[in-house]
Amino acid sequence: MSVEIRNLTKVFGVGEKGVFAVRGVSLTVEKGAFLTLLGPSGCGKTTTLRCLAGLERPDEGEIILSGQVVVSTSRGIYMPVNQRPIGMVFQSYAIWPHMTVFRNVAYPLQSMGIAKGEIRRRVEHCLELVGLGRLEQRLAPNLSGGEQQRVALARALVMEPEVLLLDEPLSNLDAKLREGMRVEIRRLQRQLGITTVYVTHDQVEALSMSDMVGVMHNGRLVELDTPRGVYERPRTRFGAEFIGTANLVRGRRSGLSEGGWKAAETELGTLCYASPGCSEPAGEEVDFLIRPEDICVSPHSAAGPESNMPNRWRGEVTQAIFLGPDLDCEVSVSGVRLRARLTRSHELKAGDQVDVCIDPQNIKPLMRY
Amino acid sequence: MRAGVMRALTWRAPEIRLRNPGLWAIGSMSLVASFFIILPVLTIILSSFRVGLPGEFSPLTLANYREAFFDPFTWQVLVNTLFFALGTVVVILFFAVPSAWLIQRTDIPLKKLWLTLLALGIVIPTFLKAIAWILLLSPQIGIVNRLLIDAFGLSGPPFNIYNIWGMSFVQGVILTPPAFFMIAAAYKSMDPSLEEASYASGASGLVTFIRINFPLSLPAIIAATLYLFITAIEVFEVPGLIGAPARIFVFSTLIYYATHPEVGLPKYGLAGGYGMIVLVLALLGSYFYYRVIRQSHKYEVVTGKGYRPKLVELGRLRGLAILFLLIYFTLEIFLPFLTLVWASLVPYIQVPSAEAFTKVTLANYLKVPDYAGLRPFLNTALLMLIAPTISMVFSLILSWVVIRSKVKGRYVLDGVAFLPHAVPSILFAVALSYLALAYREFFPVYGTLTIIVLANSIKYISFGTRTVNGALIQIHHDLEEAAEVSGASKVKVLSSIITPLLGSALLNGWLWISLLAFREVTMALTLSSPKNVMLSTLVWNLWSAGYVPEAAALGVMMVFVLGGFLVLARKLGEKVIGGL
Amino acid sequence: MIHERPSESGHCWRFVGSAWLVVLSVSGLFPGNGNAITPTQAERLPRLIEAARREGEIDFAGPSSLTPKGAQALIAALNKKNGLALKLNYVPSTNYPAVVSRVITEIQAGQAPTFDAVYLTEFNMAKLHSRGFLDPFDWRGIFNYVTRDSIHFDDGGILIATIFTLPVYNTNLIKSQDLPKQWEDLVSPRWKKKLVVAKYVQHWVSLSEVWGEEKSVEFLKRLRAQEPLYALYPEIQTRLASGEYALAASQVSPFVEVARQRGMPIDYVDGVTPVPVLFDMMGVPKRSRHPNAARLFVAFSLTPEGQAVWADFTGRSSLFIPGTPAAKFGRGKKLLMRNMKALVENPERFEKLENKFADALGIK
Repeated sequence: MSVEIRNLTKVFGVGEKGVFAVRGVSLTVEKGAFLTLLGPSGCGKTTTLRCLAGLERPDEGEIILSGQVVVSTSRGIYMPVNQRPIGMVFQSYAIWPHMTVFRNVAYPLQSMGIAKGEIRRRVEHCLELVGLGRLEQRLAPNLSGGEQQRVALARALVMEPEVLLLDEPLSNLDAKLREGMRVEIRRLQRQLGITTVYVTHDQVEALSMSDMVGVMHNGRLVELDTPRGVYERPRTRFGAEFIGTANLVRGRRSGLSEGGWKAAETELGTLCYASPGCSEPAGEEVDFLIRPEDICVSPHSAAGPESNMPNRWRGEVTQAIFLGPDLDCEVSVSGVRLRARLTRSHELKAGDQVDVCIDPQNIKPLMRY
Repeated sequence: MRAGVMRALTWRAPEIRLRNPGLWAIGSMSLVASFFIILPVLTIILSSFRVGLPGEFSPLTLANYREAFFDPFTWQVLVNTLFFALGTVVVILFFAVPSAWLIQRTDIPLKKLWLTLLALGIVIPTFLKAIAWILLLSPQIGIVNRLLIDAFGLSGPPFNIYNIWGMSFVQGVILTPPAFFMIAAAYKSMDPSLEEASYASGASGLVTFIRINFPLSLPAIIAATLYLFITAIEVFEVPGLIGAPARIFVFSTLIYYATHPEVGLPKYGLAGGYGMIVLVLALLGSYFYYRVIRQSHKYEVVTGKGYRPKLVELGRLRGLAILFLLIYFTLEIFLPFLTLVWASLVPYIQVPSAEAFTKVTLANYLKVPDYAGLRPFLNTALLMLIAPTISMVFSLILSWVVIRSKVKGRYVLDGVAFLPHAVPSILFAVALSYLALAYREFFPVYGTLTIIVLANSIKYISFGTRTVNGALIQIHHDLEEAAEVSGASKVKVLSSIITPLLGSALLNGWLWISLLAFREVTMALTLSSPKNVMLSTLVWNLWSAGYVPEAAALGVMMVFVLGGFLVLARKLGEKVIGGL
Repeated sequence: MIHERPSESGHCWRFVGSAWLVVLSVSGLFPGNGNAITPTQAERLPRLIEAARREGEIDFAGPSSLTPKGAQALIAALNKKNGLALKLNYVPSTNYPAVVSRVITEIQAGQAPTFDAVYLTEFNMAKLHSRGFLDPFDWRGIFNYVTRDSIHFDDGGILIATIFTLPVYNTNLIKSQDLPKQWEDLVSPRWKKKLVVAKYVQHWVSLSEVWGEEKSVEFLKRLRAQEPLYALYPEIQTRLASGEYALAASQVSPFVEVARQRGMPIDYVDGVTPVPVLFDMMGVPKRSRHPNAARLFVAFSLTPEGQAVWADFTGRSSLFIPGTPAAKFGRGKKLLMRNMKALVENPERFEKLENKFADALGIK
């Protein structure tokens, strides 16, 4: 276990005015794994990262970095930032404008008191690694955004830290550059096998780069799973809505089971869903998540819905937007509006009568939250 | 097993805490600075409850406060003081705000010249400037008055310098440069996109200045205004030379005459009592100052990104803009300096006339070496090098603790750093002098050059911390945290990241304090001894002995020497900072 | 205490001569007076010079009009006369009370005073004397030229200069027939708002000995009602020379002397009587670090050479020393001398008068 956080709590302000920035966050990151903390601004993801770095002092909890307890409020342990085995990239890059690229990257090694020759070797190696070999003597303000980003990365990596922390590093780059850097950071991370904690509000970054994604909301860690897991099987309404587009249907478990599926009474009618290994009590209100791409829409056939298929309703297209590869479609079923994403082969327009069907496998009940 | 590891780790806890000697150093330096500020202030407060001379231990008494508060004269003085300070800041704003904008945000030519002139003005001793203004605006002999009377056939002099507005005018003109530098920083760091958005909306340069720049820089302007309001309450020379002869007293003159009476012995206790009123006024001012500063964070428009602001093209207004600056510098430098030169060339001070021109001589310059040995030059040079250095080092540390640390009570520390500014210089020097006398066994500095250096170092910590505070706020916090994450200690962060990044602000602050210390005369006089004569006290003494031409000659020479020093320091500074 | 100078002069010298004899004979008769063995004058001077040589320097608070140049001239003359190489560290005092309070504070703190010798007006010297902070010295035992008239404050203060106080005017701006004829003319409506008044009252205190307290207070109140410009002596000089003001209610002789040297159009209003004479003194404070050098310096200031330097640089000299500018100036004038006996016996009375008059004049 390379990073372990236990019951981390951080309050800003004091007394009545105190605001929980982070409350009771616990998580672990395996050695060499890439964890992304995802969430809207103010959710506590950056504060969590800063607590890991030692830039904020938590009010409660423990932090263990590669086996070493760096924070434990119960035992009064607090290791200051400059002694922790970490490297960090800031959102603003924080490239020191009064130093050359070389001196920026060499700085952490100088702090460690490493010999000059060794510093030169490692800085050059590191700059090579991020593809900046030629810019050593350039002053920081004369670099482009992407180059500054690479300098920041080189500086964070040069001391070969146990843990790499990245705070929204790509948010200041344009879209094209961002895509390239995503791949690059992931490649470097894999190549070096460095445990990484990455903070972003961009779900594409989170899903495409990570081994694990943690979604935070109001200071709580509400989801923690693989990228596929958080997308397909979110536990909470917030997690479901924050990542991708979500159709949420509220219903009450009926306790009945039809053809091996569990069933619930919803505004759409009876909804069948798969819920392996759980036996929730009947009569409980529950939200169901249906992803737009899991909804099948076909022009209404006179034959009518086949009665033996579950989750099959009739509806009307209220809006259809052509997006190139896809067709974004809004369908009204019994007054409930569902977003569906179809391939462009569907030729639908507003007002068309359609049949709507959803595979019970793709309907996920959410935790009450 | 994990439990075992963790138990082992707990042993490290105390070690980790103690491994932070840098933080201890910073903390103890802050305490040392606070100690040197608070001790004299406490001494002043204590003295206000005693009568007699320092050391003649009298019982604690309220007599001074009775004398100060039950005298209707005191309240007249309070009104005078407030009007004087108010008038002064009005004059300051009239000149400082437009010139800050013109020099920082427009394409007005000769910027370096204007900036050098602004700094140069400080070199001419204030009391010589005041004398120049008496020669210009006195109802009896004022050259300006005479010219106007002749030109328009007036029956009487149009201007009279001997009233509160005359004093305010002169003081305001003299205090404009520091205000300029405080306000200019705000214009310099303003995000140009805010201005550009205004142009894009079809607004002209002037409209943009009035509707965008001015409101955005308002916090800086108000802060500078309050700071100089407090300065105006405390300054002595102009009220002493122009106000006091006409019996217009403000608190600073009252304090001066209580400590330098012509009849009887100095009443330090009474002066302390008046000083407390000034302190309260100043603290009130600083309270508002803090409120403005706090709110100014809402206006924080500094992004910390590197950008080159677009300059407003003045076009046809360029001539008018240059005229404005020329008028100001005529008032602040050219006229006083010309008067100074004139006074240095005649056997005694007189209004220029055909007859007077026949008496012009360089004799006064030839006498200067007799009046000033080598020592005052050496002492002054040492003061100008050491005092700003100490002051800026402590300012840097205090500002950093206040702005960047999360230590509880850090704002109290900022208040302490502001105190020396709120306390009248004379009282500060008297207190320091007495402390040095009383504790000479532990700290033998009484009557030495060291104590003058110390007094100036402490006195200008207020100015230093204001400069550093402003600049530090503008440095993105990430730059510092990045260094910490890179394994640097706090001390290393301060020395390797913050200090170079603050380079130009630190240099500017250093230079200003150096010049202020050079010009400072009241503290140097109070602390004087045979061994620590300064150029400023020398000029003052010559002047107060009635040797006006000799004082003027020395003043003119100082202007040239310091002008050279200024240009050199700038060049050197640019080189050093540019080389980083 | 009004003296007609010529007759007084002769009388005075006769008196001094006999007093000198008396002192000599007394010190010869009673060897226990001070030292165990009283050496003769011939032995004591070299001893003092030797002690001064060992001390090497003098820290001196002098009038700022002396200037460093004048101070160097003084010490150079002293060194030449005595074959010494003393160093004079001169600090110009812009405010005598500040010097007094400093010396008092230092002595009370148990420290040696910053100054080995101080130059003060008689009122300020009185404050040191009343606290017992002046070091008495047997001046006449060593320096035969020091006359009784010059020794005050129980041998603690030496009179260096007699200061004459008179109204002065800018000779270019007022015709002589328009000048005030007597002190009382200063309060005539003619001079309303056109007068400079010194921020001192010592000379008014002198005049009150003739006028009485009541009249003096009345006069000062009326002077105040003239709405004058208040100034220190050097400033009066500047304001008058520059032509800003034409008439000053009073100015002290040193500044008029210097004004004449510099060719300023300033002169006394002649004929106003009596002329108050103030006494400028030098003394050596208790616990001085270089007392012997300081005494030598003080005594030297009374020699013709010393008086010449003082007169050249500051326009100050003593009318009790023949041949000085002050002696010449005082001749034939109706002088009003400071009553030193009264001052020593009851300094509080003078302090009270000072405060009262300052109040009436509006300079408090």
